[in-house]
Formats: sequence, structure tokens, C-alpha cells
Amino acid sequence: MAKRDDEFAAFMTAYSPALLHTAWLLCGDAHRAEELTQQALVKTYVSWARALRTDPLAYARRTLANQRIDTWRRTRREVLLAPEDMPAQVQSADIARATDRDLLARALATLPARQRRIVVLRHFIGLSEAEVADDLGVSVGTVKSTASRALSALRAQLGETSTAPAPRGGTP
Amino acid sequence: MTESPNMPDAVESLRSRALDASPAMAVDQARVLSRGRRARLTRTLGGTVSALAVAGLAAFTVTQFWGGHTTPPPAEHSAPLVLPDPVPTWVAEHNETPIVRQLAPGILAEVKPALWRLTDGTMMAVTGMGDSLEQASWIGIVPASTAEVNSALAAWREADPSTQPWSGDSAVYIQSVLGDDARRPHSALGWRDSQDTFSLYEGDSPGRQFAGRTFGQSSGGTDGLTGSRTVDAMAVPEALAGSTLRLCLAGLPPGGTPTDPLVCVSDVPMFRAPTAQGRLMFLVTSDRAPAAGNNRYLAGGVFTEKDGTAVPFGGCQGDGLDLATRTLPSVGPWCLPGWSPPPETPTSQPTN
Repeated sequence: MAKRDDEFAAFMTAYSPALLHTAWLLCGDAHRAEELTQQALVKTYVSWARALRTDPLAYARRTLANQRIDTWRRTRREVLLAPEDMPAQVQSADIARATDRDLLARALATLPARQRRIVVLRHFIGLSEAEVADDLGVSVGTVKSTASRALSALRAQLGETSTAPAPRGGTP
Repeated sequence: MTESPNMPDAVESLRSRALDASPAMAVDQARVLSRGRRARLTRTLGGTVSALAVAGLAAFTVTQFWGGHTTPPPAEHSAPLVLPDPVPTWVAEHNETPIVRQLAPGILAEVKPALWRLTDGTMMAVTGMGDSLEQASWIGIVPASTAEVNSALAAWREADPSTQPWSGDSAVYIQSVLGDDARRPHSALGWRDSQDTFSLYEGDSPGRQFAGRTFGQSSGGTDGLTGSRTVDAMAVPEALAGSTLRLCLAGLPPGGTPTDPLVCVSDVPMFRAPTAQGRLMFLVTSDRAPAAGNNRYLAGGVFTEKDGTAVPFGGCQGDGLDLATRTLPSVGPWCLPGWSPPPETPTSQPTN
């Protein structure tokens, strides 16, 4: 038990930030993201031996992504900012960051859950189409078509609001 | 995190800025480990009674409530399930004056037992127990066929409805219902604005014999005040269908041994769950709020049959229950040492 706990504690320390970030992209709410991540980690702990046989992070991420992500109020239009996230001295950079966060959460929240899962895993987390398909239990073709629709929706959503600095290049 | 190909400019721009945009968040590692150990133990023991870490108790008085209202289980369907349009109206058949029971200092259970009939004929036991402080909510229990559960699971996970992950012989579905919202279109099990929790009664397995079986645990969301709440629902084995229940709570310090029972409640109300078997069932709900500095509780108790046979469960549950003789020859290794439900004398709590 101690070895298992030590291993898992190290895993949580290393990968909780990434899982929290993914959860936040999926649900748009910090507190809900913490809860989703903790639930996913609990399930991963229970199946730790199985997770270790493959990729523990992938296992946890798959568990996270397949949880219910819409239990927060889907109809809520505003995005709440937790009191602890409100700095006493608000700097312009903080405002910009909060604005980006708000913009992103609003845009992603407009997507159906399935599109949101796929676009987050594919384009925000950077998984391959095959990895997304495996995580969500869908075909690669579904990932491609759903991602395309999701990006179109996001483009329409962000077209008028994004300040759109120069795009970055990169490799998949 | 890698770059993504073919990203529309506006999206790519936002994505790049979003790398540092997520709010401050953290995982309570100790809590994860604690919950993980509990979940693993529960699973290892086959989903038997597990009320560890229960941090509060809400018992509700709907004894034999289902009684003569037992609804036959819905007919089996072949997948994919085709459902009629729901009629978004609930009809209260029964509603009583709220019952407030003080289970322990700072722990109150308010119960408004009611039986609702959806206009499509489905019956729902509304316990009156809420799991959210944000708005009115209740925990409702409805019967579900295997096909309905699989259909709902597919919708929930947005999976192929032809997959059949659930093969239980019967099920009930515990639903946290927020407000008087209508049912979700084309969904047998789901409401438009609700905290969905799938809590399924596994049915009996011949190889498993326990004094009680946890068939459901649902986690409520955080409300900023009390942390997560959980609901454990326990079905009473058929052999103990005539039993009464005495339930006790004890503090469980992290890593320590349980304290003396804080409170015991006699004759804990049970009602007939709308399972195909119409089993007795009771629910407990946890709330960390009253447990300042000692945020875990242990729930344990004793079933007593009409003939006086006593069968412990929970904190001193073991896996050797003989349903034929209703005896429990030994307690399991996870029975916390030094604690057992005390004799029934003066510790019963007042009920108002």
C-alpha cells in the first residue's frame, strides 16, 4: 500500500497541473475542474496497476475526459472569477489574462460536450487524432469531422472578439 | 503541449495565450489518496457496505413508503432504445410536512418525503434530501431497466448506443434533481438541469453475500461551504428484509482509530426501493462542514431481525455473512479495531 501510495503521490505531483488545465478547458470552471480532476485521480488510483501497464497520464486523462463535464450551469452566460483569483492590485497583464481566460471559457462553453472534448484534446492539449480517438472511444474519422466542426464554430465565435496576434507556427 | 496543425488564426491565437490563462487550481492529494483507498477497498470487497468517510447523516422517514405503490420494472428494449417524447410535468401524489431530525450537533436532516408520478407513468421516490446548497434540490430514485440504463450511459458518455456496458439484472437510478425542471428530451433518465449521478444497484450475485450492499455513491459538486457531498445508498439483503436498523456515527481522525460513537439513531427509516425486487433501502449523505478538524466519519450499525437476530454492518462488516442463518462469523480486516455499535441505550438522539 505504501509503495502504491508513494508512486501515486509522485504521479499526482507531476501531472496534476496538466490534468487540472485540461479539466478547466473542458468545463470552464475552476472549482468544477478541481473536482473533476480529483474524481479522475481517485479512479486512476483504484486502477493504478492497470494504468501502469500502459500510460498512467493517458489513463487519467481518458478518465477525466469521459466524465460528465456539463454539470455546471450550461446556460450561464457569465464566467465567474473566484475571489482568490482576484488580485488586490490589478495589473494590466492580469486584466489581459483574465480577459483571455474569460474569452476562452465562453467560446469553449458554446460547443457541445463532444466537440469540446475533441477540440480540447486535439488542439489545446495537442494529442494526435489517433490518441484522441482512443481516449474517447470514437473513430479517427469522427475526430477529424468533429474537430473540423468545432474549429469552425470556435472561429465564428472568436472572429469578432479575438485580438488575433500573429499565429504561431509549429509541428503537430 | 504541442502546436496544433491547421489551427484557425483566431483559435490559435487564443490557444497560445491560454497556455498561461487557466486560474489557480490545486488537487488535495491527501483527499485523493483517502478517497482512492476507500474506493479501492469498497471495490475489493465487492461493493459491500461502505460508509467510511461519511461525514454526516440524513435519514428520512419514508418507512415502507413505496409499499403498495411498487411500479413494475419497465419492459426491456432492444438497443438503441427509442423513447417517447417526455411529458415535462410532475404530479405529486404524496407530500408531507417536512421532518427535521437532528442527527448530531450541527447535522440536520430535513426530509420531505414524496412520491411523484411522471406523467409517462414512471414513479419516482423523492427523498427530500438535497445535495446542494445553491438551490433547491432533491435526491430522487427511479427504477430502471437494463436497456434504459445502457441508453442513458451511452447518452451520458456520448458513446455508441449499441454498446452495452451495463449487464446488471436490475437497477435503480439516483438522481439529484435541481428545481422542477422538465425531463431531458428523449432520455429516460435525465433532467435538463441536474447533477447527474449514475448510481446503480448491481442486483444480487450468488458469489457475494454481505450484510448490506452499497449500490450507489454520488458526489455532489462543491458549493464553497461544505466541500463535496456524497450519498451512499445501501440495499438490505433479501434475508434481512424484515429488519430494523440502528445506525451510529463515530469520528474518524486521519490515520487514527475511531472515537466513541458521536450519535446513534435507532429505527433508521428505510423504504422499499423501486428495484425489481422492491428491496429495502436506506440512504446516508455526507457533509464535511460539521467535521471541523476531523473531517471523516464512520457509519456503522446493526440490523436486527424481528426474531432478535442481530447482524452488524458498516464499521464492523465482514464478508462471511451466511444469509441462510443470518450470521456473520467474522469481521473483515477493514473493520476498524476497537469500535462496534454500542448497546442500545441512552445515546439515541432526539427527533423533532
